[in-house]
Parts: sequence; C-alpha cells; structure tokens
Amino acid sequence: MTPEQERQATGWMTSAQQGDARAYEALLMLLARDARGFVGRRVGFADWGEDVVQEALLTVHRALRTYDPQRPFGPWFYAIVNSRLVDALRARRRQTSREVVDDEVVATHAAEAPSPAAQHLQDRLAEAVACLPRVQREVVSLLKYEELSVRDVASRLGMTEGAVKATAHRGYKVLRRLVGETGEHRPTY
Amino acid sequence: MNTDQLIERLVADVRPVRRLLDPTERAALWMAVALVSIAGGVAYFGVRRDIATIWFDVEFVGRGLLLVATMWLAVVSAFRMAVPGAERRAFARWWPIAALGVVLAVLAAEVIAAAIMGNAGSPLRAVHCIQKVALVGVVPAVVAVVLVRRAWAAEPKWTLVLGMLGSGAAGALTAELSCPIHAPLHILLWHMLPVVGVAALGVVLGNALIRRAVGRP
Repeated sequence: MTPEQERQATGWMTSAQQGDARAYEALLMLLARDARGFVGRRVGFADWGEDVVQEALLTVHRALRTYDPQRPFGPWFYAIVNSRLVDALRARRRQTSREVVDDEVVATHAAEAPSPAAQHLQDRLAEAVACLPRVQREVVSLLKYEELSVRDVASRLGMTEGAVKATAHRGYKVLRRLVGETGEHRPTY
Repeated sequence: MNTDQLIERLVADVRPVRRLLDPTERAALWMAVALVSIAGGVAYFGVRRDIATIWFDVEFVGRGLLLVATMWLAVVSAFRMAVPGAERRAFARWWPIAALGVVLAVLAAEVIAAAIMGNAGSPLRAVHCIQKVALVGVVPAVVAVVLVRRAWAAEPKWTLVLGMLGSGAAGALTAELSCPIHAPLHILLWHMLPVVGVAALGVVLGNALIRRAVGRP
C-alpha cells in the first residue's frame, strides 16, 4: 500500500465507521486487492490464497470499531491479514501432515505448480516471516517481498538506514533458526 | 461465495460503529474497577492489624508497588494486543511477567534462606488466603474478558493470560492488605503463586472465551 493509498484508506475507513456504504465498498475493494498481493508475494500461487483474502475482509468488518484514525492504517490492516495468513498456513500444515500423497495427482499438476518441497519451504518461510515481531516483519517484508531499497524502507517506516539494516539482520537470523538451513532448501535471503 | 459477493454482503451490513477507546484509556477504566474490587475485598476480609506500621516495611511496599505495576502493565499489554497493529514492541508483553517474576524470585530466595535457618514455617498455614486472590480477582477478570472480546485479539491465549495476570495481581494485593502473616513461605504459596495459577487459566480458557468472539476457527 503506497502512502497515498494509505491516506485514502484512512479516509474511507473513517467514513465507513460512520456507516458510509460507498466509502466502505471502495475501501474493501482496495483492501481485497492489497491483501491478494500480500498473500501472493508470500505463498505464491495457492488455491487457498483467496480464502485468506476473504477471511481478512471478514475480520476487517468485525474489527471495524478497533481502528483509530489517529493511528496509521497500514499496521492495523496488515496485522489482520498477517494473522489470517498464519492461521491458514497452520491449518494447511495440520491438513498436509494428515494427507496421503496421491502420485497421479502430483504428476498431473507437476508442470503448473511448484514442487511440493519448494511449496513446503515457501509456506514455512511465509509462516516464519509472519511470526516475526512487527517491526522485523515489516522490514523483512518490505525488503524481500516488496523489493524496496534500504533507503525507501527507512523513509517508509521512519527509521534510520542503519536501524533498518540491523533490524533486517536480526530478522534474518530468526528466520534461519525457524526455517532451518539444510542442503538445497537453504533460503536465499 | 466469491470475493465480490462477499464485499457486497459486507457493504450491505455496514452500520455506524462506536470506536473503542484507546487501550491505555480502557486499561484505566479496568484499573478503576480493579481498585473498587480490592477495596471491597479488603472491607470484606478485614484490614491487616499492623496496617498502621507496615508502610515502613520496604519489602511490603516494594511488593505492593510491583503488584500494581503487574496489574497495569498486564492489562495495557492485553488491551494493546486486542487491537490489530497496536502492540508496538513484542517484548512489552513480558514486562508484567518480569514484575511478578521479581516478587516470586525475592520470596523464593527468602524461603530458601529461612529453610536453611530451619524456620521456613508450615506450608499449610492460612491456606484460605488463596480465596482472597480468587474472589477479588473474579470481577476484574470478567471485565478484562468483556473488554478483550469487544476488540479483536489476534493471539487469544496470550491476551487472556495477560488479562488474568492483572486480575490475579489485584487479588494478591488484597491478600497483602488483609493478611498480617509475614512468613515468606506463606506469602509465596498463598498470595503470589495463585496469581500464576489465575494467569495459567488464560491459556486454558483463551480459545474458548476469545477465539470464537474474534471469529476464528
């Protein structure tokens, strides 16, 4: 979400809290698009990605009264999407641990989807990023998923460049521990 | 249902909402309720008979201040965690636990020292102090649950543990103000450890009381 979109979202949200349906619709459209991008950048193509987007929108609806226009909109919204993504990844992990792999289905879909090992690693990495403390998560996400420069991240989050680098370093260290560094699955951050 | 249909439904359902107060303001409201509960508890159980002189006891005053700090820090953290993105630093949730930890550590050291000297006392002395913690903690705990449920807690267990910790600390403060026993073993077992028990209830009840309220599977 760009700073301009964030300002727009704050305005729409304030109107939506007063019951303005048109502002709310515009807000939800923007949030759906943004949540789709957020989820897609973390887990790639996933048939359950749209479910996360819908869960996030439902949560925005339920949590409408918790938003304070004095606070920035981005952290409020991304905390919700992030939480929904973590829930989905955990549910998926529980589900896949119980699944019996069907070789034929795997062979049919092999050409269009990433390998199960790569998808598994991507899911683990996404879950690990989602579990980082908020500032580390934002820094790592902006650097690696949004591919912003250190300078841009520093200006977006109101931090110094040194602080961004140090925070990213701490975040990567936690990610290495969470995801593990084994052979070919070594992450490339 | 696809996302566009969902958006249509949500838009049709939008109504004016009353914004929640800031987490610090909500914590101040909770604190007022907790102080009334403590006052009620002390009135019911009676004030300790050495109340006039105990204020000069550094340990008693230190313990009291740490309990008040535990109450405040725990509920502020709980209410911040119940608002998406409002928790600024993840380690903030550890401050109330650290405050209570200091109380427990000091008391444990005193118990060990007393045991070495051979005068730790009976662990079963005045067991009923646990009632003070439980009974006085109930009202602030219910208020904390209601306030958390009105918001949206992404981490129900953590949030409720902190809410319960604050409530248990209110109960412990009542026990401190109404029980004249100085023995560290008694204070540790029947004033402070019940606070840990009350907080642990948050782990057990977090999903049941909060998770459904926030609409999570």
